[in-house]
Amino acid sequence: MSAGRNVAHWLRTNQGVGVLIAIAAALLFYYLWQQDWYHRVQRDRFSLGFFPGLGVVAIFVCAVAITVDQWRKEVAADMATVGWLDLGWALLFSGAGYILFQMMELLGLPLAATIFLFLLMTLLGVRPWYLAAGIGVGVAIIVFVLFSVLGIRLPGGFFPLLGI
Amino acid sequence: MFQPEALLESLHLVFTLNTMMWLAIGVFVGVGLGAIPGLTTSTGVALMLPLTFTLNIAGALGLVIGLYKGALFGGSISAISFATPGAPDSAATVFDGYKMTQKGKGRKALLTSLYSSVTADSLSDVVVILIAPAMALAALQFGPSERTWLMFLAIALLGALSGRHVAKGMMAAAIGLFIGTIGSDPIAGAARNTFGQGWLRDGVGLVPLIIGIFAMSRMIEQGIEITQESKLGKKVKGQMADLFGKDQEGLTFREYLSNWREMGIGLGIGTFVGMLPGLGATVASFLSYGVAKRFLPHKKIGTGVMAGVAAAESGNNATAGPTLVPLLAFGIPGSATAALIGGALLLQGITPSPRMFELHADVVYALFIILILANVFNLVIGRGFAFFYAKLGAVPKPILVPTIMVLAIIGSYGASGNPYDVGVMLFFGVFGFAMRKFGVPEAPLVITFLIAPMLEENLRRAILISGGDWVPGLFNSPLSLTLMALAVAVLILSYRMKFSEKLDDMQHQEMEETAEEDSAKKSQ
Repeated sequence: MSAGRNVAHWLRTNQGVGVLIAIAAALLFYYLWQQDWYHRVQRDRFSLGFFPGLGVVAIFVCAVAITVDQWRKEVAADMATVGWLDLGWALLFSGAGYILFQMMELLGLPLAATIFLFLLMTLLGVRPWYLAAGIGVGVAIIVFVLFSVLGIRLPGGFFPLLGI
Repeated sequence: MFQPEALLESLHLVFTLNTMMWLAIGVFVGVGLGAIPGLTTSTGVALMLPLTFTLNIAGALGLVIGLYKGALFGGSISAISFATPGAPDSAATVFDGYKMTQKGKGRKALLTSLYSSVTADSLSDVVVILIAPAMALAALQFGPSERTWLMFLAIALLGALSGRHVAKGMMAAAIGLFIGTIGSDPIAGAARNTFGQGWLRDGVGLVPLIIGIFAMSRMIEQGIEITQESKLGKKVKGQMADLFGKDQEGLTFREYLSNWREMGIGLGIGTFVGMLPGLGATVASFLSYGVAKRFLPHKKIGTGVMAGVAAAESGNNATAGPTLVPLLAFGIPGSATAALIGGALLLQGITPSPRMFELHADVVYALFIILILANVFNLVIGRGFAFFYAKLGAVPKPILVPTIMVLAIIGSYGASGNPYDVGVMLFFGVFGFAMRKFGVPEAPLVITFLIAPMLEENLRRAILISGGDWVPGLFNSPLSLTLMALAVAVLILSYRMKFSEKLDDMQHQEMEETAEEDSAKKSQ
């Protein structure tokens, strides 16, 4: 196995991920320590940063424990197959969700949700396209009516461009 | 401590058309969500949490508890129908349930599952009603130091029992503690840990955090799975065709009674496991299935018999009520779902704590009544709509995933109308996805996030009472010393004895044994 592959495999082990988390926790603690509010002492003599700091130190300690305990060489079941592409998909889904929310404020829930549902269903393999479109329209309308009836605040409204 | 006026008040709260309607909706939706593979109980409750804003307390409890109990049973429908448990809680039901379906006894398996679930669930609820007030009464005597150590003990148990790897469970709890400190200091109210973002002054919202961790992250995971493989929807359709035919035999009362030992085992194990923070329904169901298989060899559990379904399902459902005991008695949720129910109470302005029995006795009694009533609704709805739900379990994931994503976005915004909450939910969606890939359990994060302010308040109060001295502040009674020793012992023992790993191995062993028995039979 080449050195590159060795490193790639090690990064998937509990030890590899533990080291990365420990570094992230150390950097986070350094950032918190640099903040003015962190050292501000309260009336009960606790500094404002004591508990956030405690949380970060606990994360650091656990990450270090992960790197040295008896499971350190194991690779978590799902870590064995995860790749950069998966992270890309996760960010894409999340980004699509954010765009949907922005579109809802602009176009209203029914139209924005229909477009989102149609595109995502098509991407995930619903065929033929008109089935995806039909389900998209149906689900969007049901969700809009249901949430409106229940009195839950909805982003946008029915069709904000027309002032409805 | 018993307040007759509060009981009357609670009856008025519960026995209204509004509460009954929400309870029925909760169970109806819950069984459906449970039956759909990939949608867990916590995903369902998380998605429904924003709805509780618009309801009164009894309606909100009816919706959430109904959904929880419905989903616990619903998981068995897809496990029995096409060997795909709706949630991990029903994985043990597959062993016998699906074999019964293959033998043409799917209807009998489903009814066994329903009746044993409801029986064990109802009886365990009675245990909750008897135990929780007594424990709360004892908890009222606790001072800040005892409460602090009790919370540390709960966190230690959660970390130790939530998964195979203790350090990962503890790390999830530590992350929850850190996120819980974002916003304002709970005593002085000064802003802290906001990363310079003014909108974080109020802290991270419970609803977006929960929806992100429990719903969005799972949809991201499933979305990725679909892009990589899966034509599950098609497979499922093929297997559904000959299920629940009219010629399928039902379940007689005598047959139901013949499973009393399995139900008893499930009830005992489920009730005990449910009360312990961290273990949950999956462990209870595998444990009671394993115990019944070993102690009742003549029942031939594992070969497709009712007894196997009854043991697994009663163990699974008997955790439903008891999981609320730590929440009601100490204000500490013992599981992810208990945390969500605690969240629903918080959204209604009621802080779960032992004082709830004094301050909001009507709500506690209403909760008890709803716990029992939900079983009746579960029985009626499960019996009447099992076939419909079995079909629902076949909804293809490519339709389900985008739909749940839309609900998650609307739900996280609708809770408080804050656009930032959508961003927070999406962030925790990706974060939860990464956690699951690395095998870090989500429940300790959410539970510690919920109790973080309480932990901080009690610890600071304990130190303040002792005039700033830590040692007398935290170790001022034999009870606080005992609780501290227990917390340390739990952590050390869980590391040395690899308790979670053993439970995990036991589940795998059960699956392997069943697979081996199957292949041995086929080769004969």
